[in-house]
Amino acid sequence: MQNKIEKGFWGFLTSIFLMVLAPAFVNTGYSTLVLSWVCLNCVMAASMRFVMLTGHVNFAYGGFVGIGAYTSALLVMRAGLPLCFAVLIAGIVCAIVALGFGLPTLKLKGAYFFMASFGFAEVIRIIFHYFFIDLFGGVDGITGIPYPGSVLGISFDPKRGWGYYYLILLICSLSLWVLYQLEHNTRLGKILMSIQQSESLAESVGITPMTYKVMGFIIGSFFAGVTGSLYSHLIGVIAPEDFTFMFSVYILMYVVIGGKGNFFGPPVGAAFLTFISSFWLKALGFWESVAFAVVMLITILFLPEGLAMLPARISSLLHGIRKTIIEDGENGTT
Amino acid sequence: MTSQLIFNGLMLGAVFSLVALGLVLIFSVMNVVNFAHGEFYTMGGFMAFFIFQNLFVKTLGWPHLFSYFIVLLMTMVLIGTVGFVIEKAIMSSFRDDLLMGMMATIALSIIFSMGMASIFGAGTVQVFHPVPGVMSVLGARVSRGRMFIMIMAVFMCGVLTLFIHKSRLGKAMRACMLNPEVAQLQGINYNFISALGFGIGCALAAVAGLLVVPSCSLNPFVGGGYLMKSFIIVIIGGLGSLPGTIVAGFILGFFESFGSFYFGQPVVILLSFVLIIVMLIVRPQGLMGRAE
Amino acid sequence: MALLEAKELTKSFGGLWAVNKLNFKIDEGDIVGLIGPNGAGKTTVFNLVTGFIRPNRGRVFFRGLEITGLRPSKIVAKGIARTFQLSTFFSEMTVLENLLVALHLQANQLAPIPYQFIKTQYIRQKEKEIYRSASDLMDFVGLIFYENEKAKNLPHGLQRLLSIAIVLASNPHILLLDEVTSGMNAEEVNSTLGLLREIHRRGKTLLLIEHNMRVAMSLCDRVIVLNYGKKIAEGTPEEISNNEQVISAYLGTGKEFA
Repeated sequence: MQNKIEKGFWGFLTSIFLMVLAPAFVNTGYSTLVLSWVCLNCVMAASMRFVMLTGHVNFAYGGFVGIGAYTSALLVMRAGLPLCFAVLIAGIVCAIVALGFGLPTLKLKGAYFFMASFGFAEVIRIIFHYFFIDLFGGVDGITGIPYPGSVLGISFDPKRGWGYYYLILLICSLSLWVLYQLEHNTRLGKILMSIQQSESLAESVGITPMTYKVMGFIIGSFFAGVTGSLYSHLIGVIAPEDFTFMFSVYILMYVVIGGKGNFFGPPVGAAFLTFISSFWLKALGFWESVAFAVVMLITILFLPEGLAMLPARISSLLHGIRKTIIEDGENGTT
Repeated sequence: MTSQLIFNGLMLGAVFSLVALGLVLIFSVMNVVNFAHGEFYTMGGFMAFFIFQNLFVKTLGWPHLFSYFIVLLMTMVLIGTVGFVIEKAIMSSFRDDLLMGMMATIALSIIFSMGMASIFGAGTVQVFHPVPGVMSVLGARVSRGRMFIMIMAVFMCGVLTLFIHKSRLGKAMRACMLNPEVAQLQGINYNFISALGFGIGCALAAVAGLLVVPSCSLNPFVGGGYLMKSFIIVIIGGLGSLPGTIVAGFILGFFESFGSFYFGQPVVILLSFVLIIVMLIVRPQGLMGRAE
Repeated sequence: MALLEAKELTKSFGGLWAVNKLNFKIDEGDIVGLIGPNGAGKTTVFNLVTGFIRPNRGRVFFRGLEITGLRPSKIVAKGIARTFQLSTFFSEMTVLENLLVALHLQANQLAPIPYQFIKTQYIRQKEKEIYRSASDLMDFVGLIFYENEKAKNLPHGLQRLLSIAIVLASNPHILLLDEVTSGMNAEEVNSTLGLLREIHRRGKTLLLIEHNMRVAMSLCDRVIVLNYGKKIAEGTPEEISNNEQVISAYLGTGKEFA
C-alpha cells in the first residue's frame, strides 16, 4: 500500500513537471486551453471523489461549479474584485451553500440523497435561468467575463494564454495536494474512511457521522467553487445550461473510469478523458456523450476498479503468466 | 376554471403515479435507482408516434382506437422485454452496488436519449389523439382525450396493484422486496424476479409515455422532466411503499396543475423541491414509508 | 444504584415482538451473561441499550440517569461500549489505524478536529499521546506485532482481539460484548477468557451475549436467559443449567451444555 502511494506521488510530480513544460512544445491557443481544462477537471474529479468518501454522490456538483463561476464573474465584473479574492470567495460561497443543502440531506440513505441532489441541480439551474435576471443574465448567462489581465504584478498575455495557464496549474496542483493531505494525513480522512467502512462501528466509538459528512461535503464543494471561478474566467461566457446534472455526470464518469478507490484514480481518469475528448472525440460531436456513456458502461462492467488500476492488473496478469511459464518449464510441459 | 384544474390535477396525478410506480418497483426489487426511467417514458411516446401514428393509422389506415390498444399491448410487451434483457445483461452485475447500478442506468439514459434523437430527430413531434373531442363532466368542459388518459392510467395502476397483491409472481416480487435472501430460500428465483421487476417497471413508464404523448408534444429529451417528478414523488411518498407512491403522485399532480396555472413551471419546480426538503427534514421516511 | 438498568424494555418489528417487557439490572463489577436460542432478541437488547434502535416502550438507565433513545455516540461518551457480531472492525485500515479511530473520544478531548489542521507543537504532542494509547491497547490484547497489517488480512481470532481493543478504546465502565468468542478454537477461547477476566479485574463491568456455554458458565457470575424476547430465567450458572424452562428452550436446537 505504501508502495502504491509512493508511486502515485512520483507519478504526480512527474505529471506536474510535464504540465509545466508542455506549453513549450504545443504552442496553439487551443492546446493551452485543453491543458487548463485538464487541470480543472482533475481537481473537480478529485473533489467529487472526496465527497464520495462520505458515502454520498453529489449530483448537484455541476451546479456548485456554476455557483462558483457566477459568483466569481459577478465579483470581478460588478464589484471590481481582483481575481485571487474572487476565486477564494467563490469557494467559500459554495461551501456555505453546501452547508445549507447538506445539513438536511446528508443524513439520508444513499438513494434519497442521490435524488435530492439531482433535484437541487435542477433548482440551481432554474434559479440562474429564471430569477434575478438583471444579475444572472437569464438564459444567456453572463458574457464578456474578463480574462485575467495580471496577477501579483505579473501580466498575462491573452493571446498566448500561458500566464493564466500557469496560474491555473498552480492553484490546481495546490488543491490536489490539499485534498490528498486531507484524505491520507488527517484524522478527518481516517474518520471519513471509517464511516464508509462501517458507520455503526464508527458510531459505537463515539463518532457522530453527520458532523464529518458535512465537513467532507463542505470541503469538496469549496473546491467546486474554486474551479468554477477559474473556469468562468477561462471561457469568458457562462450560462445556466452549462452547469446541469450532466456536468456532474461527466465528472462522475472521470471518477468512475479513472477508479474511485484510490486518490489518483479520478485525476488520471480526468486527464486521460479530457485529452481524448479534446483531440479525438470532438470530431464525433453529437455522439461524444454516447461514446463516453459506452466507455463508462464497459469500464464498470469489466474493469470496476477503473483505469488507474489497469497497470496493477496488467502487471499481476503478466506475473501470473510468467509464473505459469516457469512452472511449466520446471515440471515439463504436459 | 377551477374544475378544469382539478381535473387536470387528477389526470397528471394518475400519470405521475404510473411512472413513479415503475421507479419504485425497480428500486424495491433490485435496489437500483433507475436514472434511465425517463427514457423509457420517452420510448413509449415514440411507440405512439412511430407505430400508432405512422404505421397503423397513416400507412395501414386502421381505426384509431383499435390500433391504439394494439400499440398499448405491443408497448408493454416490447419495452418490458427490453427492460428484462437489460437487467439480465447489465444490471444484474450491480444488484449489491447502488452507485455502480446508478452509473449504469445513467450511461443507458444517455445512450437511449441520444439514440432516439438520432433516429427520430431532435425536434418536437406531435401525435394526434385516438379519442378526440370534448365532453362535459360535472359542468366543466374537459377534453375526452385527457379523460381517457386518466382512466387508462388509473386502470394500469389498478392492474399493477392487483398483480402485486394477488398473483403468484406478484407475491414472489413482494417477498423479494422485503427480504431477497429469505425469498430465495423459499425457492423463488431471484434472478428471474429481478429481471421481471425491471421489465415491468420500464413497461409502466413506457405506457405512461404512450398515454400522455397524444395530448402533449414529444421530443427525445422529455424523459428528464419525468425522472425528476418521479424522484419527488418517491421522496414524498416513501421509497418502500407502493400506496404511498400513488398518494404522492396525486399530490404532485394537483400541485403541478394549480401551480403551473398560477405561478408557472419554474416556480413549481422550485416549490416542489422546497417541499421535498421540508419532507426530508420533518418526515424522512415519506408519508407512508417504513421508519428505520 | 445499579450501573445499568432496563425497565419494561419493549421493541417490536412490524408486529413481531423482538424484546418483550424486559427488566434487568447490572451492578458495577458484575459479569453477566445474556443467553438464549437464536432469534431470542439478545442483539436487539444491545441495540436498544446503546441507542442504535429506539424502544417502543420502556426505559434504560445508566447510573440512575435515563439514556433511553440517546444517540449511540452520546451513550458511548457516557461509558457504555459495545461490539457487533458483524463489522467488528474497519476492514480496509491497519490495526493501528483502527485504534487511532477508535480512540476518537480521547482524541476529541485533546484536540477537536478543526484545531488539528494547524499542526502546532501542541497538536503534535497530543498526537503522540493518542499513539501511545493505541500502543497500550495493542499491547494489552496482544496485537502489537500486527500494527501495520490490514485488519481484513488478520486471522479470525486476531480480528476478535482487535474488536476487543476497539471496544476498550473509549475507556468504558461497562462493555457489552456480542458473541466475542464466535469462530474461535478452544485455545483462542481460553486466552480470550483470560483477557476478559483481566479486563474485569481492572474494574470494568461485562455483559456478554454468548452461544458458547462453556464461556458463559465459567466466566459469568450471573446469567439472564431470553427466549422470544422475554426473560425466562435469571440466576447463577448452576441454577440456570438445572432450570427446566431453559433446558426445554434449548432442546431441539442441538446446543449442548458445558
